[in-house]
Amino acid sequence: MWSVFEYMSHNWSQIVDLTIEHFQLVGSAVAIAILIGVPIGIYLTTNKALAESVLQICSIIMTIPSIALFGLMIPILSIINQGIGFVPAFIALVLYSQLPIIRNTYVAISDVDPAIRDAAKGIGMTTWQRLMKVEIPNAFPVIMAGVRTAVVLSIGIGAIAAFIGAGGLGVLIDQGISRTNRDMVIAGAIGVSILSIFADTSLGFIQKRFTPKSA
Amino acid sequence: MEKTKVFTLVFKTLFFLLIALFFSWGIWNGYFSMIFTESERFLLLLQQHLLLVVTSSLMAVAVAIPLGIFVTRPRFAKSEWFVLNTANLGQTIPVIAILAIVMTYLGIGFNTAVFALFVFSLLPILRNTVAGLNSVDPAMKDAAKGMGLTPMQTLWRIEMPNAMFTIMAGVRTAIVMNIGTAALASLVGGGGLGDLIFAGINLRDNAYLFSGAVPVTLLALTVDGLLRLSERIFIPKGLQEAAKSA
Amino acid sequence: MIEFDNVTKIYKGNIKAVDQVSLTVPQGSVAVFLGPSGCGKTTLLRMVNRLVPITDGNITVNGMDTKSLNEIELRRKIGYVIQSNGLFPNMTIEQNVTIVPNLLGWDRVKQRDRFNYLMDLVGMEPDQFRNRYPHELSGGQQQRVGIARAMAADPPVMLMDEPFGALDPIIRTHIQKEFLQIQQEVQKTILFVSHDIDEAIKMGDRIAIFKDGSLMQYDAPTELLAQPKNQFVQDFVGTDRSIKSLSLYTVADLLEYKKPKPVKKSSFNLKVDLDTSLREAMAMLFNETEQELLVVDKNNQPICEVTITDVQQYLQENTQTA
Repeated sequence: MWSVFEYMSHNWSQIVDLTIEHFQLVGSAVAIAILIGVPIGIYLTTNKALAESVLQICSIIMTIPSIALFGLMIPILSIINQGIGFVPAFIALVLYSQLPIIRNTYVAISDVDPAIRDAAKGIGMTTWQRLMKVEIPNAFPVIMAGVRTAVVLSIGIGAIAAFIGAGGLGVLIDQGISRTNRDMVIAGAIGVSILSIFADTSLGFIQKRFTPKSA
Repeated sequence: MEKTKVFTLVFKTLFFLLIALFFSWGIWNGYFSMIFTESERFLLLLQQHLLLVVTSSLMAVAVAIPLGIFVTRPRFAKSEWFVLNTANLGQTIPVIAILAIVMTYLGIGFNTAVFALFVFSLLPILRNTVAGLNSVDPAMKDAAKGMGLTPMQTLWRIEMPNAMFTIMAGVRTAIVMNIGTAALASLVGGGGLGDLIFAGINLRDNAYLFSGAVPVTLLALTVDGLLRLSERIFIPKGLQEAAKSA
Repeated sequence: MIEFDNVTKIYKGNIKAVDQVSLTVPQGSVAVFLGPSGCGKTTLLRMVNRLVPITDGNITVNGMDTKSLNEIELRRKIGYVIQSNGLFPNMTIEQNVTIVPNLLGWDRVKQRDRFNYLMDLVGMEPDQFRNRYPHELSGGQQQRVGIARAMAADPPVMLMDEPFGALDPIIRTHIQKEFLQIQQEVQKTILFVSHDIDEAIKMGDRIAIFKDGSLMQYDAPTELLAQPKNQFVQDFVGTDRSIKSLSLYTVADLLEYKKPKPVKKSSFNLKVDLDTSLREAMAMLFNETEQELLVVDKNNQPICEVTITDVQQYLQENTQTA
């Protein structure tokens, strides 16, 4: 165990760089996923038939094993010369994040107490005002829970993306395995785990902060 | 109203067209040829893959469900908090990290892969078993107890059947994720269809990539569908109908 | 017969939920435990089948100390009905009703016969419901099945914890009536928990009122309404207790006490039979413009007429309040 710490302290700057890289990949992918998923989730509340098929497709995508998805994107993205690296990893993470984000947004907005919605209508709010001032704030904790799931998922899958050259902490595991460097592998595993637990706890904290006290 | 339906139809059609396009493109370029030209190797890897999944899943079910039952018994209520929090924390740790850590202790090979997959599958099943058993209406348990059912009879006749929905969902999630994760077993020398995918990545060979990735995906989707069907057998009829009418 | 002898329940932290309660429920009668929530009535009920362990004192069922029996056997001999009916959604109606006979190892034919008998008893068609599931039934039907299930192994004693509490008022009134008819036939010894004074008056041969775990009064409904022992009981039964007591008497009672007036008028808008409660009769007299009611016998032949004054006099003479 001691040798792992030794390894970590010797390669400290590399580990920090990889962590930042990992964080950038996950952060940008989830940010884009939110920008796509939340509006889709909101729109779906107005079209139940579409909602069903979209959620089905999302869960099919979710069922595709991550390494298989990476494998399938290589030939497809090779057409535009981006078969490996950041682009396929980024696209995969955006895709995987859709299910938790769309589903939670859809469920949360649908589940807003009809009485509250009615009251908002009754005091003369427009559809837009109702959405921004009533529905989204009330749905926020559940949407946030979806984002949290997406982030934790993406950190794990992001580590696998190192095998298609996307960088990040998975690089330590990838290279450690091929060089049979045990310390390197464990350093990568611990790094990814800590990043994941840290993200989960801090997002959980935000989620709790913004949950209305009465609920 | 009509507009939304048309939109839904267009969306669905587009999705299936994309899939069809993808497959015809693969076939056009002969990317699936490996399955047929090297069918012996392919079948061996498929067999390995299934063995990995079945062994680790069975182990996980055999451990997680009894453990879930154990921690929800009133006498051991104190252990529930600890076990659940450990399980939640465990689920946050990425599977690749679990695989890597197990490998450094058990070396490489089939056993390492099975053990890592087992640990990884344990958590969703355990979590759902506990959640399912805890969600059984206390009034129902009270009625059972009041009528003179022993704790064991209450567990098998009342609690387990009523928790089956949630438990089965946990088992399904675990097994489907397990199929995908088993593709990573290749990294620790566990074999399986991952061998083809990683070979494809390293060699930039589309035929390997397709022949590995497409079957794994189809396997995951098929098993997911089959397990959804099997829920009709394992879940009491009354509950299925209640869920439908709800 | 159920006897409570100085029964006490003390929870952790010295909270006295039930404090030295002694009372006897005679064979074949209904005793209603009444009181505000947290008064210990449910705890006392649950001590009978030992869902709640007794801290001190004894409960005997038909002369047997409950502590002397194995708790599983004890419970199988006592019917148990709860508010939310507690039917098992994974089982059919027949499986639900026959679960205790099944555990007791009855043979199939006997179980089936029992199911048919019980369903008839609670007024449900056995074959129509045999293979249905609880979620397909209305609240009232579910509660009937709950009662049938409690009687499955023909226990001499039944515990009912607010069994009709979750039903809406119209169905509740209906089921209460049906249940009294069933009770006339089966003659069980029943403990019935309620927080509703009207229900208690209707259902109980005797009513026990509790406050903070102590028994305030244990009497027949008439006594309780006529002579509340203390301020708490008086407040609980309410200032309209004289009106409430009217539901305890029928037109027949009134006629027994007072000589009927011969029929003078030729046509009446309001007709009642001998089984109508005085409360109902009173309500009719208040609501309509008529001054008198025509009382008819079973064959719809006029007997006499009754006025508000008759009812009032009867009430004053029979329910002298303390």
